[in-house]
Amino acid sequence: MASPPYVELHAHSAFSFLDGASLPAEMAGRAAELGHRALALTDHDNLSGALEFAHAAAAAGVRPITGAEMTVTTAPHPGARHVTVGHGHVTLLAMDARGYANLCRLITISHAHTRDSRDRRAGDPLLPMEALALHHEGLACLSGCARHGVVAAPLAAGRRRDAEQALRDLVAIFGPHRTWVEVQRPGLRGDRTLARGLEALAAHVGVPAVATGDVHAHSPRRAFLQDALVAIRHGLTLDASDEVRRGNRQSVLRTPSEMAERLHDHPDAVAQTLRLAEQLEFDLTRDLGYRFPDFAAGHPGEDADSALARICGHEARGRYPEGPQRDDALARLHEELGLIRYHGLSGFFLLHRDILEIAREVALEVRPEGSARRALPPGRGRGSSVGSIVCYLTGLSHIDPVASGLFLGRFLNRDIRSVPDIDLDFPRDVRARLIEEVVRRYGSEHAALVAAFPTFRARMAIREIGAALALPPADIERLARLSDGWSSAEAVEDEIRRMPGGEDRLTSRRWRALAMLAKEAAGLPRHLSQHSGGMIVSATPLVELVPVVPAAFAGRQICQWDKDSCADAGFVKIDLLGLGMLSAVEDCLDLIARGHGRAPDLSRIGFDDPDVYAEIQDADTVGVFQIESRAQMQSLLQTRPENLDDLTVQVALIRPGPVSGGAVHPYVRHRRARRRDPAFRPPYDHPLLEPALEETLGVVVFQEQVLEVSMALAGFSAGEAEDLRRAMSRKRSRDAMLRMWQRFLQGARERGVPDDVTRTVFTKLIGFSNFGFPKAHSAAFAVLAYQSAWLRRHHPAEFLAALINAQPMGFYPPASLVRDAGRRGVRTLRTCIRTSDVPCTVEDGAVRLGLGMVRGLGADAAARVVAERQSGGHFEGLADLMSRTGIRPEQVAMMARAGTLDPFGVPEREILWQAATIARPRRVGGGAGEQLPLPIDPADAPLLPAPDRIDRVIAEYEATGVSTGWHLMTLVRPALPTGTLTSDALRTARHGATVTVAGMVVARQRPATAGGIVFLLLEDETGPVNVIVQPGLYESHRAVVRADPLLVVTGRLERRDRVVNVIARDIQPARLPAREPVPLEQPADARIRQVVPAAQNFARGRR
Amino acid sequence: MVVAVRDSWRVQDRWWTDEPVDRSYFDVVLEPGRPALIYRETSGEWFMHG
Repeated sequence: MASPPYVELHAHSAFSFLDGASLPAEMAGRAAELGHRALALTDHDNLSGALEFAHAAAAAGVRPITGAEMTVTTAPHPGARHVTVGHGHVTLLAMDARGYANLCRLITISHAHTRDSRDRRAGDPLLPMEALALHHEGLACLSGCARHGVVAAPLAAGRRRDAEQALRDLVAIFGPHRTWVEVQRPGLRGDRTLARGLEALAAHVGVPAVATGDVHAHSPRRAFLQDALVAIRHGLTLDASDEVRRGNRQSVLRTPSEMAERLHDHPDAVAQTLRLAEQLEFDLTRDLGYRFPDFAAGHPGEDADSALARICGHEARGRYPEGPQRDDALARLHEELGLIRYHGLSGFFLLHRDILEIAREVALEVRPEGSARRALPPGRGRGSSVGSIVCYLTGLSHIDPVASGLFLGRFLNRDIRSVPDIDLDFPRDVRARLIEEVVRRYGSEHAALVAAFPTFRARMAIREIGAALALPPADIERLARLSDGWSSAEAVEDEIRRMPGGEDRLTSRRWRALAMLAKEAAGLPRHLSQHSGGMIVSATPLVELVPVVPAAFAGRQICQWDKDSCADAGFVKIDLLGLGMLSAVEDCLDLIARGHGRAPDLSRIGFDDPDVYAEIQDADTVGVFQIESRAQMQSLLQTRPENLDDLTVQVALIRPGPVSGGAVHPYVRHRRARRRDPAFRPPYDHPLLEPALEETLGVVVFQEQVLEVSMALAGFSAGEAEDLRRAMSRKRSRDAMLRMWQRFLQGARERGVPDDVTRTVFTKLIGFSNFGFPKAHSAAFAVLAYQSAWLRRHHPAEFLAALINAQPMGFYPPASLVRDAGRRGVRTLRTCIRTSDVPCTVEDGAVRLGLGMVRGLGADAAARVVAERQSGGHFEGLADLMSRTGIRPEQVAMMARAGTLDPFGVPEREILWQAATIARPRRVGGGAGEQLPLPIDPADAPLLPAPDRIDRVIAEYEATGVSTGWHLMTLVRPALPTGTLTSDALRTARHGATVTVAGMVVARQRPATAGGIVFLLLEDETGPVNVIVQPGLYESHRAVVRADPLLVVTGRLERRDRVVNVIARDIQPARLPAREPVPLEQPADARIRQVVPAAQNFARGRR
Repeated sequence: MVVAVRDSWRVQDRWWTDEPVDRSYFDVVLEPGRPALIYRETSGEWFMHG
């Protein structure tokens, strides 16, 4: 077959963020279909999609070329030589490893000042020309696109001398053999003249011209989306963005022959694409030279292997004194150290240990002197690494894997093909400092956070594309609110159809365009963001392996690859995760120590307190780590965990993996059977599976069991089994899964397993692939679940205060936590100007809300009020408060609503009046001085009506998100339909009865695994009510179900085991009792809608 | 009679409206040396612009 006549050397993917409409894999796949032998990906100012593209292209038989289109600037820099080009694009392509390293450095430099503004909003990257002059080796420089190229743009504008000077400046840096003039024919008016002019200029200066396509989509259909993305990027509508859009759909990937034909006027430039491509030898899948930091020997002559063995041996002697576990532990340690040596990973473990040492120092710095927290370890392990005895002995895990019977293979085995993950959880304050400190210790060129790329989802797509299409904002907002925010943007057409008049709307081109574009945009990266805590550390400068950019959070920096690319690159990713519950537990211990003189030692409380398990078995777990959600509670009532092993299963059971793998109901059934008959043996799909699934009663609950099942049934090696698990968990892994199925089937046949059984088991494993926990991870979380349940049982006030202080976290908003604690005898007191601290505290056994909860007051003002009170004594009154702290009238208003100022003995509305009439300290004399803080008595207030109970409750919600007095439902109840039952009364209602209940919505969930069913958790003044909404009712009452804060539900009561649900037949908004309207105030219904605490609302849970 | 094509380009725009545009434009010289801007619709019909 003849060689293609053209190589595409200039193409953008969606990683050009709003200037490219296809995924790298789509570009690679389409290039292969069109007969390209090689393709360059040249996204704007980044390499975010480069590795993904390189792997996809290589797999498709297309040689990947790595590059980027950079924006260069000649903004003056101190001492810089004057150059004459302005802002414009150049295309840089990596010829070899040196060139790739320089490209990474240049991109890093171009982003260095993108977060310099006060609000750290991302600015545009710009590369100074003198940086190009310093880091040009190994790079081919093309003169950029027809619209914005440093040479083409001035030439198109009639400034030939500037164009020539710009080209000569590039030649001065790259020389005539690494500089090319880009010639494009994008099908725009004047491009023929421009291309001829560029070719003539190239000849005049003595450099070759090369043809490029400036591709922005892999197919013509995506060119529509490209138009919309460009409009979004510029904050314009499609109608108003003529100037910035291309105006046609020609910038899509074409066959090499089509491109040669389009550029037939420039045969040399076309031929040059082949010659240049031959010089671009760098292959990102092969030539990246990553090493993790070298081990620094503590003892002379000691290498990493012996250092790790020494440390672990020493620890093992202490942790496993003579006893039955000692031999097991030493044998396991011997096996693990052998595997670690085999893979050359001793330095990797020592690196993590070093980071833990840094964390210890940081923790001592963050945790105040005298705090009970100072004695605690800085963090805890999570994930599969918890199964490793080396991690346990080096402090990277707090779970004894021998005692807990944890499987190592998921973390480490002889066949692993990538570096294993070690995940560490820290309290948030420790983590925040630790990230900064790791960068400081290893150097800003050697450490960075991992990136994440949020993708277009339904709500974002509706809002952004809808605005670009100039659809009515009110309609767009309604549609966005009605849609499942996290559902795929592919579902937008369905969402439009469901709107009132939806079918009519879809007859309009603009609405149809919204549906089509949202579908095309689904899954495309929208922008670069920060991964939840992954960090990369490198011995060689990281900025020569992947570009590094400043993060929105001051003091942090992010590399341009996400976790998949980092894994593909073989980078060691260290996960430093912030865990709200760890912060809460530590705060709780501090509060206990403050009130009782000493805090309990959580490492010595044991895991067998019957009172704690009694509460867990009754699903009395609001606020308890991992087992507090609506679904977990319903499960707890049936599974009734009795020990830490049961909790370990429980934590892993209510996850998408086991749910969609069909594990939950069989597990519950088998557990019930085992309770009735301890000799009960669960059924297995095949006897070979019994050893792997015995502990979970015949079903797959843990990730390790996927490995164990595939090893037992299909004879997979540990490495193959891990490949299967990874294929399940990665995006776009269908082909890999199909290959795995063939191998699985073959292996099972060799073991005499019937095909139908093999298919059943494999289907369950695929179902599991949605998401599941490794047992080691679950065991680590079960410990924290138990500890939090123990603190809740024995120190409920401190636990509540700590939970509120650690918000946002967990399943419930603070209002529900307060209400639940109230039912368990814990009083919550309003904020108080005389006693409140900034965080919540415990006062005579009750929780005193902190000033930090007062909305609009702000952390600084709250701290100022507390500090001023501590130094200058109590405030005499409002004027004294305002003059001493400088707080503003609107801040006073929120404090008054929250009840903070009750000790002043002045009615709330009078306070609001006074605040507005008191002069505040203000700057005078051009900011040099300040008006003296004289407490001037306020003017007398007119007679104002006192707020009623409903007003007061709403005001409290408005001010703090919490009501410490009446439950809103108590006040609403008089207006509810006769016979409406409370949560308490529901407990004695009979199965099958028609009941009416009402409550404030705490959670609305529509899990992907539930076939369209919506689960509502309501709360009334006596407790929670579970409501199940079938898809038909949901569709007909969508607006009410999705948005109304107070609901009245009529339905059939269903009682199974101890689980009570109301299967809804009708759902209506609950109305407030009729009241006198207050002048100038919003109606109470509208205020409630705005202030009822944010619940789990069709979105991801908070952790 | 067209004696020379000086430039050609493609306009594909307004596709989200009720009046989408998809035209191939040609900047041509007609036989007596008269310049003209003509375009072809996707239907194949030719029009003189302006």
